[in-house]
Amino acid sequence: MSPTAVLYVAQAIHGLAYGMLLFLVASGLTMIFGMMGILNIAHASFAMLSAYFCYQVLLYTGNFWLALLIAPVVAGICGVLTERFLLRSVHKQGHLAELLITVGIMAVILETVKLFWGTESLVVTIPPSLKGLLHYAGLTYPIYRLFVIALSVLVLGIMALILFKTRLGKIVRATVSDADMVSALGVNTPLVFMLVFGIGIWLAGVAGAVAGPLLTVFPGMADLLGMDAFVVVVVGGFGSLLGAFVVALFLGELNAYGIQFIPRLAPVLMFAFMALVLALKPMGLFGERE
Amino acid sequence: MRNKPYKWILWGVVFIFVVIFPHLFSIYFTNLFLAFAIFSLYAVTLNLLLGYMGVLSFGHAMFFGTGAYATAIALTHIQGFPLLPAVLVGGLAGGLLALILSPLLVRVSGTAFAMLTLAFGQLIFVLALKYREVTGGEDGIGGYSVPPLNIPGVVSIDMTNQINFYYFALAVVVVCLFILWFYTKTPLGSIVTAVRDNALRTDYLGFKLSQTKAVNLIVSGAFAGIAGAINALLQKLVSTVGVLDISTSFAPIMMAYIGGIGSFFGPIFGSGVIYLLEDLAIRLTERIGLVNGVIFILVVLFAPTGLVGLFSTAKSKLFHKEKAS
Amino acid sequence: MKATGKFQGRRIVIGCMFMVVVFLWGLPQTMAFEPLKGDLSKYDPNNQTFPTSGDTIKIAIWDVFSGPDAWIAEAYYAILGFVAQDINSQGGIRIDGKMKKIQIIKADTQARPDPGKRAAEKAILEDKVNVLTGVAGSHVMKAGMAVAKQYKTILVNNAAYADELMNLPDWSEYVFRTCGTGSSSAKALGIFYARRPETKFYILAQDYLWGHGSAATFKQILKETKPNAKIVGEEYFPVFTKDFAPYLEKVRASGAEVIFTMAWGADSENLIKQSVQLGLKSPLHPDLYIPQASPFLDAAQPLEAIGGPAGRGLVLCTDFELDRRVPNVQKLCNIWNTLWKTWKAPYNTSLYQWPNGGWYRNLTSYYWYCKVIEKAGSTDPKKVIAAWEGDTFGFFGWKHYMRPADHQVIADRPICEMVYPHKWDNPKAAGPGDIVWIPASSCLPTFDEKLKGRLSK
Repeated sequence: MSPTAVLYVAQAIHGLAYGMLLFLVASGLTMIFGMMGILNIAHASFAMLSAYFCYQVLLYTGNFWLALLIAPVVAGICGVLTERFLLRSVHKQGHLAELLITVGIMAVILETVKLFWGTESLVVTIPPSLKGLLHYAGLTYPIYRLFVIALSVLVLGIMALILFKTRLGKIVRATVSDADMVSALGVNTPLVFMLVFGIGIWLAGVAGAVAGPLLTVFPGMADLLGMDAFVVVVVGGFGSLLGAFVVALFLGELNAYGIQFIPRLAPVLMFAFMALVLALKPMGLFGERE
Repeated sequence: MRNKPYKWILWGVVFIFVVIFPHLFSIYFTNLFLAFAIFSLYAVTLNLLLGYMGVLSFGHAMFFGTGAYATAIALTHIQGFPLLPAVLVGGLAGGLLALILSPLLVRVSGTAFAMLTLAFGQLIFVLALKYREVTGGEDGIGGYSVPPLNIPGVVSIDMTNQINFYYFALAVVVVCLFILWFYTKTPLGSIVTAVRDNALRTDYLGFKLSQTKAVNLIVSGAFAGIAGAINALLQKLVSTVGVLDISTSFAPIMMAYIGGIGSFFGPIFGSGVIYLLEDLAIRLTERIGLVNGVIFILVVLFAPTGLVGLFSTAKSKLFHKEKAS
Repeated sequence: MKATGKFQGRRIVIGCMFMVVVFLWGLPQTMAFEPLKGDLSKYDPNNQTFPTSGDTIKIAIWDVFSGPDAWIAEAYYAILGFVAQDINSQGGIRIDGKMKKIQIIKADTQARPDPGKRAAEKAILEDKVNVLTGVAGSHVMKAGMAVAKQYKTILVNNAAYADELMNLPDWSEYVFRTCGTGSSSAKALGIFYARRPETKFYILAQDYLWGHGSAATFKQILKETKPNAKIVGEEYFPVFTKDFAPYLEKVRASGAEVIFTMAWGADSENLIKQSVQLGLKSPLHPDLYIPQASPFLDAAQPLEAIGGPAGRGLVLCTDFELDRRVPNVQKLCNIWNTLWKTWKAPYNTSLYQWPNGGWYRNLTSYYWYCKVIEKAGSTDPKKVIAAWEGDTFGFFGWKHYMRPADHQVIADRPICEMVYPHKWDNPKAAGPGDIVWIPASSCLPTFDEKLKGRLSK
């Protein structure tokens, strides 16, 4: 490949990697909003929490795979507890109250993380099996980023399978669409809510754990991921996984190619795009629910 | 009938307290009080949209910040720019921005409104960061001083004196609050509330929906701009982090909610609580984030109608007891 | 006999007077403190013992104590605490005729200008501090400079490097900058590279005045000192960018041999880690990564994360004591690192092992301020200003001179390439190699011409 082609291909893969990471975070967020109407400002904070858990498990066991398995689950459990004890009582007060309580939760998670792990950046090293570079046709690409892409696709695949091929998935999709009706049909909707919230947080946790070696584990991690994921959900449409997928990838590529060609404007592009889409389609590109 | 003299006495006490405040406390507390007053005004403008019109402005800092920057730019680039116009130009900038955005914003409500304002708020934040030649970027614009208050032919009051500035700034804030309070009592103000409660019906009753919403937006934006202008004069520095970022958008939402979005004065109480909390917490701990977060969660869980709601519940319980006996 | 007795008596009297004079002259000298001479054997930043009331010298740490960057002020607290313990255990400093000890006041800026301004006001008006020291962030610094000017309090800038901070209208005679500046670092690097084989430079800096200003200076100096140098790319990224991969890909494609960055904090760490992850090898030395040149490359975590061998070639242009061959520096290392092994969280991480992170430049600023008030015999700002202008500090083997006209430091600049292995401290990371000293006259901080005639008035 010619050097320019190599450059563009590399940028495309970078965009894909970041886009997939974004999608992992945004997918949970969009399902939670779609189903429960909760705009979870603290979503990325759970991702960060998972990154810290990952660091901790790695410290104890030295096994990255174990950490990758355990950390998101622990984060998911924290999510479930939050839903059960904090969010559920606020549900009847309306969306604004739910949104505001998640702001409080975000602040508490930040302080908790600092309390237990201190305020400096922590090192999570890439495991030896994923270290190193792939050389192909003149392209040099880090294996770990390819792993991020592969893992995200795997997780997405499993989610899609569960949602569209199992009975549980059917119930979840129905509840996202019309919770009251499903409840009238006798399904235990609070349980479904809790489950979906937990899984949503688990997805964010996977993103957080996987991003640790890339982005450095430090208390400001949540801010970085959070806003972008939010944009993805809003533009993609609340409750739409397809929308989140399309927009996450688009934003990842927009970021990479924006930096490639118009670096000064790159950060502006994302919000300009968001404003444009919302002005034309206030529900987001694929959104249906208010 | 019994309440009237009670209310007047209350207002009298507040007035006297506010007037002698700088003579009772040090400059540090005077400035803190001013910051509280400025954010009270800012939070009230947010509540014009949230409490009165039923929409959450998630990017309200864009009005506040635009006003602040307008004042700073005017004072830095135009020699001898006078004081009152400097404040008014802030209001003008905020109102103009609201006017430009209103065609888009009046078409939406609910979550869409919140998201659209978030998008624009962030867009303006990033634009201000990028166009450093104009805005100074993250470093901001500083080094200007507050011009003296000139009443031509009568007197020129030096505003670099902190106490003089306190009276001036407070006067501006109080006048603005009064205008806004009056505005909510006008027929237009009532229509806005009607829009919140049942937009469709208000439309069918023949009121012009879009225009009403637009006017309310512009009023909110303009007065947020004035709050920004006064803030620019108090801090003598405007930077993107201080006046345009997401936490500047969050602050009035928290204040309005804690104070109570159902009343005009709620946001003012909320602002007071936040500032009191910050000052107290800083003396005791470094973990102010934790304190803020926990208190906020507690308020949302147990006091959703805000402080004002708590007061009126307590008051009605007391009065009911009296009536019963 | 009579004559001998009188003669002897007079000799004794003269002898006594002479001794009294010597004693009185020598007394202040013996009462003067000397750095590292105090009782530091039990110093623990978590349990500091400075006086918290009474007639003390109040030094405020005005910086970020809360939020994600709380490690900044946490570190300063440990460093100033060390200095305070050192000086207090030697009896303190003679101010207005009395021996006074140092008290530390914390003032949390929350990393924002509005709370920062309030914290400064509180420290000055409520806590009655004698001096503010800080701060991370030019916008917060500007707000603080206005407060210091208004309430006539000394402000020691030991952390904000942006050049234009010490220009009018923000400048006032109450502010002293003890740290380096963007322009002096950039100039020093430009001269350093004049004598090196690398010719292709990529500028990748933070998108605010700091990044733009330093880059402009670097380009200008390079043009003068190395005509065959080429700037093969120039990008400015938003502060706290998470993913540098797209930027680094452009660097790779440009064939750059050096990345001039000046980034700090999380950005610096991510740049280092991600360039190694992306396999950004140097076109000149295929076993090394493209070197980054910056004043802030010596934080332990990223260097440990990439491992010693990968850190070779990084170019560090620092402004604090680096030369461990100087006896006083070696003494400081030994005392500090011995103590460090006894400390508990949060001070037991490699972040606090000497000489990590570079914010030990604050050590110089604290000791210098104390020496100045000792020289002035007072904490009165006017006297401090008079004593500090033109003063020098060189305890750690490297002379710093306070330029009288604008209160900025003139000093030589040490630049070194990181090597591995090295014989100093951290065995897991690359460390400073041989030092190239750039003379002070070639890397002066920028000077606002409007301040030129200030002192002759």
